[in-house]
Amino acid sequence: MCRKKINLGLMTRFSLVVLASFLIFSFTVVAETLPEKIVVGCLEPLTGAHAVFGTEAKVGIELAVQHINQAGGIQSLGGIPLELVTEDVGETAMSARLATESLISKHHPVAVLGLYISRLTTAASEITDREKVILVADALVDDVTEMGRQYLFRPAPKASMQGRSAVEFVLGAAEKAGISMEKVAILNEDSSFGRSNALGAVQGALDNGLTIVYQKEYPYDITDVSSIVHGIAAAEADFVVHCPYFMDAIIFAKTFRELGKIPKFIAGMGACGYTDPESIQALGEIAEGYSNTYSYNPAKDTPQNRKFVEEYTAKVGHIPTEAAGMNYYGMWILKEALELSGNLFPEDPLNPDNLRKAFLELDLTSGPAVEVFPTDHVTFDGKGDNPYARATILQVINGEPKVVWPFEDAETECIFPRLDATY
Amino acid sequence: MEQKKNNQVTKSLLWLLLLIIAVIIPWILGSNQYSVLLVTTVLLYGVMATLWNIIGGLAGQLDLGSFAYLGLGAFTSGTLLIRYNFTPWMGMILGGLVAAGFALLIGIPLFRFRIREVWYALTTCALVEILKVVFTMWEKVGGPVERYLPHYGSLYHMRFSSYIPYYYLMLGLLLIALGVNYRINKTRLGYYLKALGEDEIAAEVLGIDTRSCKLKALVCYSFLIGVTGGIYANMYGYIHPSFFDGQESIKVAILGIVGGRGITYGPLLAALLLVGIQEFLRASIGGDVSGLYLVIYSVILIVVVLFRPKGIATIFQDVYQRVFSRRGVEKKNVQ
Amino acid sequence: METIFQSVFSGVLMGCIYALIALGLSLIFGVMNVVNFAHGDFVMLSMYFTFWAGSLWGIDAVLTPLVTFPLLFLFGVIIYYGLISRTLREHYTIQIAITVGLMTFLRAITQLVWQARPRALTYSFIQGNIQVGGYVIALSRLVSAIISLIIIGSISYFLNRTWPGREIRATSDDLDAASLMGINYQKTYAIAFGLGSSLTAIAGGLLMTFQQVDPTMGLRFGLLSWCILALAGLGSLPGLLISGLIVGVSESLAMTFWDPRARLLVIYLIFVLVLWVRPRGIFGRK
Repeated sequence: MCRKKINLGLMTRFSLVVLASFLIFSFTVVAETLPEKIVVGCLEPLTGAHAVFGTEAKVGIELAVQHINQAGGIQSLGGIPLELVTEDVGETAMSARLATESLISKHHPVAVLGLYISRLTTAASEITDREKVILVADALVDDVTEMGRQYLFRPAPKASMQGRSAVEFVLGAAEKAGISMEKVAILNEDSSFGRSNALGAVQGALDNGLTIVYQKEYPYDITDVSSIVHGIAAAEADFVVHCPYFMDAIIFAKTFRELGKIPKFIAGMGACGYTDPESIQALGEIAEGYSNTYSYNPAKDTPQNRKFVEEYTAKVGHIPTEAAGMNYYGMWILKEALELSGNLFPEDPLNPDNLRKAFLELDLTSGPAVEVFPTDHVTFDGKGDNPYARATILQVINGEPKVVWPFEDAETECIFPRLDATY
Repeated sequence: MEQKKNNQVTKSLLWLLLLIIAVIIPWILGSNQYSVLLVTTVLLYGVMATLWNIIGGLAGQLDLGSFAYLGLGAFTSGTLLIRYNFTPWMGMILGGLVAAGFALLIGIPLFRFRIREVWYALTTCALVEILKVVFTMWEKVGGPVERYLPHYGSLYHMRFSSYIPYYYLMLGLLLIALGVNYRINKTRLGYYLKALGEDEIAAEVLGIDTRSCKLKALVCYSFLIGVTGGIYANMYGYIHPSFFDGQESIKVAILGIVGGRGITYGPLLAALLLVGIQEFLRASIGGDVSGLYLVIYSVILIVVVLFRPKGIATIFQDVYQRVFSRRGVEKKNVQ
Repeated sequence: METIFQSVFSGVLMGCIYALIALGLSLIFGVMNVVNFAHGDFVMLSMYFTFWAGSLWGIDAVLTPLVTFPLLFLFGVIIYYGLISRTLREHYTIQIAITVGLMTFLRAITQLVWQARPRALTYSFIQGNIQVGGYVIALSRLVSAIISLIIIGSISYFLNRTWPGREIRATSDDLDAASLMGINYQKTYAIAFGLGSSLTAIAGGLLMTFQQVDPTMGLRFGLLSWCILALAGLGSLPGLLISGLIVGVSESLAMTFWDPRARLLVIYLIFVLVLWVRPRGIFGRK
């Protein structure tokens, strides 16, 4: 008797499982008629070691969606608003894949923004390509666009360009100040991002006839950097080009100051680092004079950018970080692509291949997307890179990050060399 | 006697039913790639935790190095694929051999010098970090830049565009893992391992060659984890030193402990529950309040360990026992 | 030559702080044989408390232990009674599982409260440098090292010369005998656990003078202190200090002369080798 009961229980449970699966299945199959909203996904690392970037990026995306909808949605599609869905991608390839599959299968977005970390992007972009979902990437590592992904677009300047920009900025500023710079030290944290930046800097240094007297890669969770600072001083480097991860910028700046061995200039390259609002707050007056490349220009004096900076500052308490800025303009560029797709392919604008074509056709020189973009030209090559992307350089002057390079877009004159340089 | 036989039959029927469910799950989930990936990921942890049970549960050695072997397997098979276009179907076996070889290299001195308990745990934990640094610095094979595995959608390269084949691969591995566990449990090696897992010194006094027993368990475990690593690399599509993940290795051991050390299906059960809960929490509230789901997850973990230190599998054992022993009692009364 | 000296000296200074971090773990593991995997996260937590006290009341990081020390002691006692005391009789793997759960919890809760971004305090008044014959020594490291030495010394005094300290040592030597002597081992354990975790408050305060804190930094301090403990063996405070110095110096030398990425590699290799060759540590008492 009893055994029968158990088997029955198992059978019912089994059929329940089947039933539940069918229910889930039927819910996920959504009829593809005229949508009332265009669903866009946000996949950012909101927990784990990279959460610091992801949480800022998420706010940038949210604001962009809000602004786009306020401005009347996608006009060429009859003013359809955007709807944002978010998932946390964690810090491993496994969680990134799960999140991407989950978001795409539940919400069927036409496009996804984010991922930030190159290895998460590598894992997730395989899925977005398979599902033909546009991925507007914010991972800056050069290789992200070298994998042959068809539906991946990256508006921001790639990492090696940032490294090169840092070197060019220092040389330009030195020339203006009439100082000669010959010996450079290059430092980077040991991720693929740090490596890409450093390669760009090395190339930039060699092209300009500089001697690289010191070069080290270090893990970002380093606990003491005295020996590196001593090493740079012993090599008598004129200036340092450094790609910090984030927190390591703080320990480097403090150690430079404390040991009193400060070269003529210390230029940061790559995301955040020295000029991030958090670092500036944490460093206090030590932050003075540090510069860092930025894939976004918070000082760009355009109506759209002022609005973004103002609302972002009101919401978060500091000016937009690079992660927030990149995603804010990423979303606006996506919006422009949707508009273009609506014009070019009115019969099926949300078809991924049509949208992809629209991205490739995109050639923006004005409008809100360009108003928040660091340069005045957005277009994509076959790989998905924007050939007109350039980094700007921010320097901490009187406790505020100010745009100092390119010189023609500068907010103020840069301080060069460092006032507290000791050799 | 008859009752015992009946018991056996019910047990096999239960297992068979579970197996049938496991086999048809992908058909049910079918077009929903996320669900298939989810069950595959759960299975991956299930495989790793079940394999961990050999060394951690039976032999009582708290191994926190599972991702060291996984990474070695992944790098062997991935590098062979990238460099020599070598099929991962063979590559994963080689990966398993490399992992097992490495485990031998580490295990011989480790057991020779009688390193056990927390020190064994910490050594294996350090091992993962050591390999991570070595592969980051070893530019020819690793390096900081991700190495993308090409040939997406090719059977020869084990790069499927759907998760269903990976699911079946994992299911196959799981069956092997359960089978190995079961076999070892039944043989003399299993008794020896359990004895030394309880009390190593007593086992030595009884004349058990604890060193070779532990070594056998370690090699079994690392070889199969290495093979899993080969599939892992192909499923995620790249190789990178971050595969050597200390946190995840600890998680595997936790699954084994929470499930119930030494109980064949315990770790699998824990993987089903805990990985399922974590992923459910991540997908449902992870996007809104970042970090909250980990708080909930860790509280669940602590509560489970606190109130079921022998493992959650014992809950099922209790229920099972109660149902069947009551019938036994009834029969006795009738007699 | 100058580089070697400079590098060794940096390592010595960091080594003292490492020894202080490991001291708390040594108390906990040595006395009650409890495997605390969350020790590094205790350090992380006290660094956050330091940040919180420092930014809220504008106290200099060096002085924050005045506030955070009792706080961490309380935290340790609560953790002991809430979690650890329930697992004392269980297999050691259960203790590890519990403390790993605690580790995940602390990581997640700090992220929830202080967000993921790293936090740091502004320049401390002990920062600066002194120059001795061409060598530059960072003042914050020097002061931190001296404070660490003082603390290690006073803990040694506490254990050897005071009653509660003797009770702790007696319990650690022989639990049953100590219980027979009328020592309430639960209370002793709670004090030891509280003390072990409150020592991280001092370490946290010192680290925050030149470092920053983020939720994920726990495990690396945890593993580091286990390495030092393995080197030192149990029960020897001078041994702990020397092991801290060995770790600090080898880390610094590896960074200067080889590759900064190899710093952990060197530490862990020393750890594994010492375990193989001297399983009871170099200076082990037990």
